[in-house]
Amino acid sequence: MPSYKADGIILKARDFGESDRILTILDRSLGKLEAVAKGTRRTQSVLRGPCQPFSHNLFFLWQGRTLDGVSECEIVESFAPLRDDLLKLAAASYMVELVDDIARDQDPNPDIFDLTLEHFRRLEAAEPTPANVNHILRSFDLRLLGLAGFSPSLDACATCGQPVGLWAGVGAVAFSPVAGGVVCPACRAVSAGDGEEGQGDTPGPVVILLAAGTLATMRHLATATTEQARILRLTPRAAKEMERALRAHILYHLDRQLKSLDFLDSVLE
Amino acid sequence: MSHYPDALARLVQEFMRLPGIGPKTAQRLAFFVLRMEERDVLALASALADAKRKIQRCQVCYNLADAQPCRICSDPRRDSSILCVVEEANDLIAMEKTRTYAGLYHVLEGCLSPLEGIGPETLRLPELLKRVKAGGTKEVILATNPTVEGEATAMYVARLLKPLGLKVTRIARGIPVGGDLEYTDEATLARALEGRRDM
Repeated sequence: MPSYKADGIILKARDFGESDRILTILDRSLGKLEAVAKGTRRTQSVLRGPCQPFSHNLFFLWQGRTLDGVSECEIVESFAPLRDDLLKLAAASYMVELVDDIARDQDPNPDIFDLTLEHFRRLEAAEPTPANVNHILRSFDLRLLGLAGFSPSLDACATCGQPVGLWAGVGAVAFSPVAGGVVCPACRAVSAGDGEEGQGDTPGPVVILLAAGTLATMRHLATATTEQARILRLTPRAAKEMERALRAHILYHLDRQLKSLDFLDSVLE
Repeated sequence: MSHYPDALARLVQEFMRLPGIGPKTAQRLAFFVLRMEERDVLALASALADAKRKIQRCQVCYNLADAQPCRICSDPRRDSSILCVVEEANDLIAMEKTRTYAGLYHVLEGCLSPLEGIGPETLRLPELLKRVKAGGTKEVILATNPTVEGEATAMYVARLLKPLGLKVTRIARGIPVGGDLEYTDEATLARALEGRRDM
């Protein structure tokens, strides 16, 4: 039976049959793949410990006809603290759900793999406070959207392309998930949907108002390195506005609400 | 199914509703039933109907029961000051088989699963809080599975119970009895080290 190696992060592990689990693995060079870990729910299984969600492992896999299988597994980074704290667990669940939705099967994207690892490390090391978790998640959202090609337009009007510097003053700027970023007052005035409430067939709010400082912070975070993002201070107002804008943007592009969001919100309270 | 007599086809179809039973196994079971004594077949049918009719959830601990409250909840020899919280009724049975626990139970009927969108509102948490607030409970043991979902549930329940001033404990995790250190994975071994105790 042909076999191969994978260096991957476990995004999901769902029960299968009597004692097996099907793992969704994000591999650096193979992309997203699924493999069965046989007998992993049994107490004696040596795969039980390493085959936990969020764990970064070196996998030895066999090729099956319909589904590949894990024959051996070695932990590279277990990320146990992400499973031992409720807030970190909720945040990591949100991150892997987003990656799982965005990453395509067997379409390698090493940047998404590295970004996930970097943010897992940040989350692992962070003091588990709602402010820290929100900070990490917003940086993750912006950079992941960029890598996936869904980056919101933050430098120019998403509708007419006029640079922000030409029309944005010191007041609030409108962010439209439908348009795909910030919109200038002229485009906002001519668009049919203008209000903070959801309208028509579009899920979520039509326009979210961002303070000038929030927009500047988002622009910085979208291109910042993990270290630059880490030292950036977020005001509670900027954090809230970014959360609303990015959640609406993600909801519009994925066309579904992430399942982990309710749980994340319940532990962030 | 046209090659089976009607009654036999129905029996095969009914067996196929059971988990893990495909057409071949269903056919084998149906043929076995045909070879059984009539009184054994009737006993099997009556056991199935009785189980469905009589087994219900205990309204105190949500264990499977044939009386209200269940045998464990109504046993005066049980220590009512300790509550062991488990995910499902079969976890309770596993705990009972240890013969080392003499307290009461609370079955949550599931566990939190953020990735599946299964939130706290689906669990028997309001009932647990009501029981604990009614008084008499000194310790709550969280015996959910050592999986991500089980840990999330344990942490969530602990967060709800801690403000009530109770002793909240978590069952230990580590090397299984009869296990071998060499073949124990790093994650389990790390847990075992964290949970070491004086001898």
